[in-house]
Amino acid sequence: MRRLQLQLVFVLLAAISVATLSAILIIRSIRGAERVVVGDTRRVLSAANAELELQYAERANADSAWTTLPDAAHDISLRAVSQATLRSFPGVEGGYSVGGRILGYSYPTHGSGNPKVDVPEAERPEIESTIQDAEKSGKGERVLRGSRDIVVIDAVSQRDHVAWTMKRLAGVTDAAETRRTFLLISLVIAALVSVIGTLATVVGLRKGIAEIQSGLARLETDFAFDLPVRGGELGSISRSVNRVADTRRNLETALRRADRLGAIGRMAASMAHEIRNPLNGIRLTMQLLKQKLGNTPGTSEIRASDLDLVIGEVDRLNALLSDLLAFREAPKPNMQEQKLLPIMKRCVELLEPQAQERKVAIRIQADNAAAHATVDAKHLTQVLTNLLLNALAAVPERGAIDLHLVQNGSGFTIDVHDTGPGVPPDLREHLFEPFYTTRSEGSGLGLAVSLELVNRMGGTLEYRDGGTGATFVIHLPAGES
Amino acid sequence: MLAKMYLEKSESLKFSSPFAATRILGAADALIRAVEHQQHLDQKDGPPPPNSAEITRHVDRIYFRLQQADYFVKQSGDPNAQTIADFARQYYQGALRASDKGDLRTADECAKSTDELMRALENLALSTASPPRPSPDPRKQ
Repeated sequence: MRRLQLQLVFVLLAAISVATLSAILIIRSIRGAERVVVGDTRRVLSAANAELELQYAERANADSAWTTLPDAAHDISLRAVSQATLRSFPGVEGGYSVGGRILGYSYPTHGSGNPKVDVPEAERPEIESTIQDAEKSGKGERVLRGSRDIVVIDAVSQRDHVAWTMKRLAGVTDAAETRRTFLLISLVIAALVSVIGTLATVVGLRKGIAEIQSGLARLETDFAFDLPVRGGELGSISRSVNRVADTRRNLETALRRADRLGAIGRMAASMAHEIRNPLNGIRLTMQLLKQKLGNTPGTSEIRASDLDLVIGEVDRLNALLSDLLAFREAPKPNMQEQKLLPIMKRCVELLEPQAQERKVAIRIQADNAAAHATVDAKHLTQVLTNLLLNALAAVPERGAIDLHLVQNGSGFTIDVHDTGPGVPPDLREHLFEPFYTTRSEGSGLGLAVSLELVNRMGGTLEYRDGGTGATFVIHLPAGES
Repeated sequence: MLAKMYLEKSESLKFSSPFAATRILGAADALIRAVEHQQHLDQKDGPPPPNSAEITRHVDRIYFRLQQADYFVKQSGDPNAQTIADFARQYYQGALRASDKGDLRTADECAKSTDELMRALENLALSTASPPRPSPDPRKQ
């Protein structure tokens, strides 16, 4: 748990670090790109100003009266110079300042077709202040960051004039800037979502793991407890733990039953030997007494029938002993390849008189009439007979009992379904316990013996819930053939 | 012919627009000088040409001046300005060819003619400028 916490904290810190570093890198790259572009533009403007200076000097050298021209004329002449000069600097506009007046402005590479000759009014104050800076310190410079573009102004001063140039950088803050800003915002949102998601995962995991821990602790003392099932992977773990606990409960139930059956078997074996011999003696004596009474004149018929009653009860005790002996350490069942349908039919035929007496229909349905399985025919007959007897006792008159033989991948199942009231839920877990019965005349051994016999054949017997009536299902493994 | 016409025009403007008259007079003077340089070639007189390096620098300089020709033509609004500009370009080509051939004298005179023709064009353009304001009379203050 502690290791998981550390790992999650590490993941969280890593996510925060990555987001922060990405944001810093993007901001730096944006600013870096802007710096590079502005820096390049400054160099271009410096070169343009140097060229303007050179041409001014050459013109002044060639004609000394040129510098004394009136402003209007000087403006025309200087514009000719600046046009010819700035034609080699695309996107650059500029001119001169003489005696504090801007003269000779031109923008020869302006896209309109006609060279622009009017100083841009929007930037005029900044141009003039840049020129003033140049007049004071020899060089002036401005970088104006607008909402749509960046304007770079550069001015350089000589003795009697200033050459100045200007360039607009439209792409730096327009769409490209918007894209970068959008990218940055997206990145920050993604980072936040990542951090929040990680935090939510951490909290959810911690809570889920704590629940599983406390549930496991409770399971140590409370076998009936089921872990609460959450969604996701933790839910899968809870479900797996619950399955394991369920399997454990079933195994413990089976083990208890096996222990009980084993104890009963051992007791039954010893009791059967001890009781059967006296019972046989009693029966023989009763039969002998009945014969003697029958041969003696004047004896009442009622007394003979009383003896029959005693003999009948002795027979019933014998039958009970036979059931008890089924728990004895029996020899290995006689497993043979058998057709199942004939065994089922034989059982039905045996009980047909009782069924007819109560007007109960017993029907057989088989998906595969030739189905074979490796079984002990006597065991299976006894099991089916027990189940049919129970069903006959449970169904009302004119009820029905259905036997359904189904072949499946792992073997065969025989469903014994009746239209009786079914088994109440609170009694189901005791169904296969020995001596457990709800009928006054029952021994409570039928289902317990049946389960034992089916288990000996490698199969299972269970009560199936759902629907009306009761359904017992015998699972038999497929034969080797 | 052009020079004479501009001399007459200058004379006519001498009183009404003295600044424009001065500029047009300058244009006429430049045209005459351009012609004189060509006459130097025909008569094989005139000063000796400078050295090759200096002529090369001169040719480069007039190339830059020629870049201003279209602006001056447009600014002047003079119907003959384009003809003057065309002549200037022809002389520049002559100077360039002569310089390449090593004919320094021809290159020098053609370059000078180009210079003068550009000066004429510039003066015609400047003649359109509004006249300078007269200096305030200190006695009226």
